[in-house]
Amino acid sequence: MRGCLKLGGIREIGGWLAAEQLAPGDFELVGFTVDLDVGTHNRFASLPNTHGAQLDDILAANSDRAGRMDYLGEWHSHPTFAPVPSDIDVAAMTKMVEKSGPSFATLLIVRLLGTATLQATITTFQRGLPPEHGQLITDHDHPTPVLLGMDAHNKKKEQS
Amino acid sequence: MIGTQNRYKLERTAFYLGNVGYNIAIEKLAEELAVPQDRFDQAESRYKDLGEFLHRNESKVCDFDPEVYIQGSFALGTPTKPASSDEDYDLDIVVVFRSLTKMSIKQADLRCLLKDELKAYRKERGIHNEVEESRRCCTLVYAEGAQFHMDVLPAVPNEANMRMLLSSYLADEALADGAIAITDSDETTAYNIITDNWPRSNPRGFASWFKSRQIEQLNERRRAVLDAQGKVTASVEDVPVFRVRTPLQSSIMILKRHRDEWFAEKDPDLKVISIILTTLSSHAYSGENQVSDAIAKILRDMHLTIEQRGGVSWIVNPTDPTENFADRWEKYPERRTAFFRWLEAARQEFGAVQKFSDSGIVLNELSRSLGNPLTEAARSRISSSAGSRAVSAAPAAVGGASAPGLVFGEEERRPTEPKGFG
Repeated sequence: MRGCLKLGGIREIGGWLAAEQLAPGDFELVGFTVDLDVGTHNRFASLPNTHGAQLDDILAANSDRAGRMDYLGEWHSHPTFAPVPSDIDVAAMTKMVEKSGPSFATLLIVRLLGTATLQATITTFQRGLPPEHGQLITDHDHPTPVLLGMDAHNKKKEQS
Repeated sequence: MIGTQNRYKLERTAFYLGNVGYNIAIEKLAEELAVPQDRFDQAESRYKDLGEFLHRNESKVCDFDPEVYIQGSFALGTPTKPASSDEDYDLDIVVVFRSLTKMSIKQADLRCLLKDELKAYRKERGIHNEVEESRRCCTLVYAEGAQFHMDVLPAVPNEANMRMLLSSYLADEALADGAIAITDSDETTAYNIITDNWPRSNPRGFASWFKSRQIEQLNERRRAVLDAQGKVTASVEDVPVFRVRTPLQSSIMILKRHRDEWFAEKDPDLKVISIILTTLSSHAYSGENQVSDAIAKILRDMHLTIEQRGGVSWIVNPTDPTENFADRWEKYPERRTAFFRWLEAARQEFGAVQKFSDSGIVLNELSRSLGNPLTEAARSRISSSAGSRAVSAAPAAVGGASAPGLVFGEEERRPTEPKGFG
């Protein structure tokens, strides 16, 4: 993700989160999709067509987890301000879970400080309930990058 | 720091953003105040039943082509559940005799015609209570427990007169469609002679105006109803206004309850009448999509439409420029004072909680001004809403786990709509 954030610079980037359900309320992030092109310094648009295909790639690459993996939520960067959901972010996520989308979804917001330090918050939106802060646990036992979304995107970039 | 493969434990810690808790509390209050759909169905069946009765073979008014329709809060979609089981749903009905004119019958005779038919209707339908009569209408009170009474307003058409009037004020003449002339037994001279001088009313024009103030929000929700029914080619006009609830309607319902509670404690005789509250709210509303935003805007601006004309407060009927909804404020200035005191109280009480992010705290605070039964019922709605969704989202496949928490269920999770973040 740091690589993506470096590429994004001061423009917001983001995409979808793919996760495996470990237990109720307990998810493991398996990959994420990314769109490096549509964001500006303070706006990002999450477009289903762009991210749907990348999510398919992630699910296909993790077929051993089939049935337990799915779309978990959204992520995007706040390169120039604090990594907490803005009113626009809250409104967009609330509208999705209340109206057109899944009954719950998470929103991960990240900011890269310098070249290595990553700040992040994760918030859960659930239909009929206020947003809740989620706890982010770093699993140091699995240090190997498995960023299939980013990999797929970068491969496309390299091919083009 | 985030690694490349992370676990996200989504705990139910108390962390709220912005005023989402306030929004949820307000939405649930509106849901709780809303009249249940079966009550709307009952209201509809009752006025239709009366209409059919007036057209039966033995009817003495059938030749006058009576048309029965609903007006007032049920027509506008703003009725609220009674605060207690002792109170009734107030159903306002118009019976307009379309083949009669002001110059063909006396007001008193029109009233008699209707009253006789209502007596027959009462007998036929086994309604125990006598037909009551007031200044402008007759009232049917249904049986104990039915919680319904029907105010029936006799009328004759008055569209041509209203069209001229609206035209002379450069107002929208289309609002004259359905305008009526009504009876007033207190005006004894005009009541007992043939005269063109009848009181005017324009409930259909008012309903059209009310719709026009929120047409976008209304049609959006009507379309959603049709989509949910799979009727993608049907017209939104096929969905009655009372089948949906817009932010304006919800706001009016909540403010009506606040008014009821506030005046019950202060002085019930000075209570702001619903038509004033509805008219001023509709003027102040400017398309807000959330009830909480709509209430804030309405409370901020609802006084702006009150005009001063020669020292007299005017709240103009938007469908009859000569009618002042606040006409009684001139004779009873304490009513005007009470209106502004109530408005200030509402501003303070809703303003004080709008920044709270915990819906529980919002409901605690509002229980003083909206009544504990209502806020407790709203609290239950929030709890049951969360509970039912947790159950529906929980698949049996998750390792037999019974612990509460979010789970991927059978639902299609991928978003289908673009989202904008900032």
